[in-house]
Amino acid sequence: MKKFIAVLLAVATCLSLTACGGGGGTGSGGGADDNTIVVWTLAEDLKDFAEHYEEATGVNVEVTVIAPADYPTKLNTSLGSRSSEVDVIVGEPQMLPDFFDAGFFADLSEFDAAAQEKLVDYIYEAGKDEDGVLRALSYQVTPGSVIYRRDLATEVFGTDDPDEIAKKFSSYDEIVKTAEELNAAGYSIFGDTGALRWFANSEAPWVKDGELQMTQTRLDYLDAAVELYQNNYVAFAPEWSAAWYASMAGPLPFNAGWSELDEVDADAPTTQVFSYVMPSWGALTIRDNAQDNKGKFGVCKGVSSFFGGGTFIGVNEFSEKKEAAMDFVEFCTLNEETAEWWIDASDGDIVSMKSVLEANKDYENESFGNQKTYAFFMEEAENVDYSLITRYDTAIDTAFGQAIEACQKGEKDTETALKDFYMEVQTVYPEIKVPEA
Amino acid sequence: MKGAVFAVLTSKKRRNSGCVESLGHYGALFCVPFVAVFLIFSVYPVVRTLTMSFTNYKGYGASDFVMFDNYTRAITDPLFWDAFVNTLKMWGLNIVLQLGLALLLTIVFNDIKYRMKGLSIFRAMFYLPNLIACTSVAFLFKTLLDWQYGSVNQILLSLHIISQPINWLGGEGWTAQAVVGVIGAWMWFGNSFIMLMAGVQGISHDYYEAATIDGAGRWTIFARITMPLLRPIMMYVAITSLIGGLQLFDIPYLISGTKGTPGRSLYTAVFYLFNMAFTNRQMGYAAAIAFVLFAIIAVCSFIAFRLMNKKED
Repeated sequence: MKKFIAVLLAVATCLSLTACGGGGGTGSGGGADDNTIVVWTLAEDLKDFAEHYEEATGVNVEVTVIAPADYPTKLNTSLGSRSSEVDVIVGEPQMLPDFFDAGFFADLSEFDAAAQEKLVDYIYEAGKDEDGVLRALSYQVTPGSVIYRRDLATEVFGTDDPDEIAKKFSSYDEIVKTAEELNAAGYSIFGDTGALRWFANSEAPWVKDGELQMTQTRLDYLDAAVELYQNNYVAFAPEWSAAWYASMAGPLPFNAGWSELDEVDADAPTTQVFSYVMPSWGALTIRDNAQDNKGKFGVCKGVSSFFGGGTFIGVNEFSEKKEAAMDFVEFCTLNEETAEWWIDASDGDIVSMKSVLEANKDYENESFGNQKTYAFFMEEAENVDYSLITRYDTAIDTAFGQAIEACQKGEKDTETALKDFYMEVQTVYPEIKVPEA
Repeated sequence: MKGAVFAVLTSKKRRNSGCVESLGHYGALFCVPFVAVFLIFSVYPVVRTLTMSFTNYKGYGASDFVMFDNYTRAITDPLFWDAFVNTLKMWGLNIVLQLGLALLLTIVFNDIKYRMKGLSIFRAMFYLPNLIACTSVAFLFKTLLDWQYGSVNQILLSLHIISQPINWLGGEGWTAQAVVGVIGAWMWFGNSFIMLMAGVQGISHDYYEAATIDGAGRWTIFARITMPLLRPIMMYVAITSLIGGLQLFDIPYLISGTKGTPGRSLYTAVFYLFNMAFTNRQMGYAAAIAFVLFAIIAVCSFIAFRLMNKKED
């Protein structure tokens, strides 16, 4: 009897430990049945897509959302051991080259012709590996824009016309002049100088033929960032800070930094932020935070066309349910009805399907004073040059940002900061040839 | 109790086979869980890291054997050595404050004349910072030292000690490094204090009584009796602190918002290793850095032990 109880307890312990190991997220592949596909994603969006897919096909989809900072490590650990616990995987553009190299994304060549025909060019290009094999697709495009306050534009510049305001952002020199005008009127051009970074990579990729490219645009970016910072032309409300969000709804304390607004001295001087430089999903951020300012925004072109982020979907190379996973990917990215549904479900996300973009080009966005934002983003998406993206961008952008910060704070002169920047790039990536400082 | 268990086991065994010696395999069985955990979670990672350090492994896919390239690169990497010097600066300040404060408190609490009361309460209070999670400590100090709205600057300004707020964590790099050093000392001085107290209480009272009878003053007693006899404990605290200090990562990582800023001042050697492995995905090189650090710590510990033994001789 005692032996029986001991065996029972041992089995119960093992089962409880197994149950612990299987937890985490909204679902796990270990227990998925044959009619269930498992999705690991960075974006909540895919939960909506999964529900829509379940309604349409009856196939169960388990979605686990993983924080972007943890996602590459989790994918590398799991798929590095050729795990089949996940069927559908995703990646942001800067992650894709490494994931493709690792062999995690299955061949989607059977969708090649449809993707080329139906999707915006840069989405099709971004989804291909170095050998030109299609491995991932996206349901959205994320072209960028300058989002500006129409009321402040009318007050300071006498017009809120997007074409006229675009001239104020046509180059880094123009941006500095515009900042000066706005400052004289008591406004800040941006939350902080980070907004300038989006245009910096428009002339050449960071690395071309194994050499680091220090273009004039990047040097102009450095100069403009230093000038805006040192002359207090920005509000010193960093992107994603409480003050930055608050700035969309009205005045904010000048130089609030990362502090919570209730921590800030009530008597601190205030300012208003004139504009934000963001990819298309930024329009949703504005919509959600503008409060009484809803309808007072406009979108226009900046120094150059750019894009940022976006979720690309693919199939785990080691999945045992590749057919089902591919069907899910096709449903999310190459189906016109899904794209139409997603515009409504997301309340205005910009889809990647050309025919649907075309059909919605007259869509008037309430948050932007009924401006036809779809038509604008459609044109910008066509201008995106994907060949400017490299696998080194995240690390090099960070290092260049630190060099700029050192110049802004007066810790280093431009020459020294660039020299240190080249040294850092050379140290981290010995294979890259850097310019002589 | 142990004897009773052993007796039961042996009596059962006697009934079964009549051979007490054959019980030895129970000992081996009892060791299995520990050995298994040790092999899986300690030995295997070390061996895997060592083999990885000779490859250009990126964390995925295939890798090539690159001999000692990663080690050559680490030894000639100026950013690694910058990070190492940063680590030494922060640890240096930390150990001076930590040991100094612990020693001062040890003297106060052992003073025969003052006979301080409430030692157990103070000991618990001093040890408390050591029990707080690093994330909480980093958040606490980030809030207190916020250069615009932090309590520290507000107090210093209201007392007219400073006229402008000090940007503790974002201005000159050395202030941020000093803050990390002070945080380390605050977290660990309680631990050192307990060690030193144990050391002092282990010193025979006969020495003190004899010295007092001979007319020695408090300073002479401290300098000639307490300090020399406390030296081994102090060396132990310093060495364990060095081993931990050279692996400094969590507080600088959290307090700089994962960026190592201002400048690169809060970049420590392990922070650099972490970024190499998980941001730049150069696992092979990061593994080599880990072994270079291991070698440095081993050499420092060896030298310190030799010095300690020499003094004892």
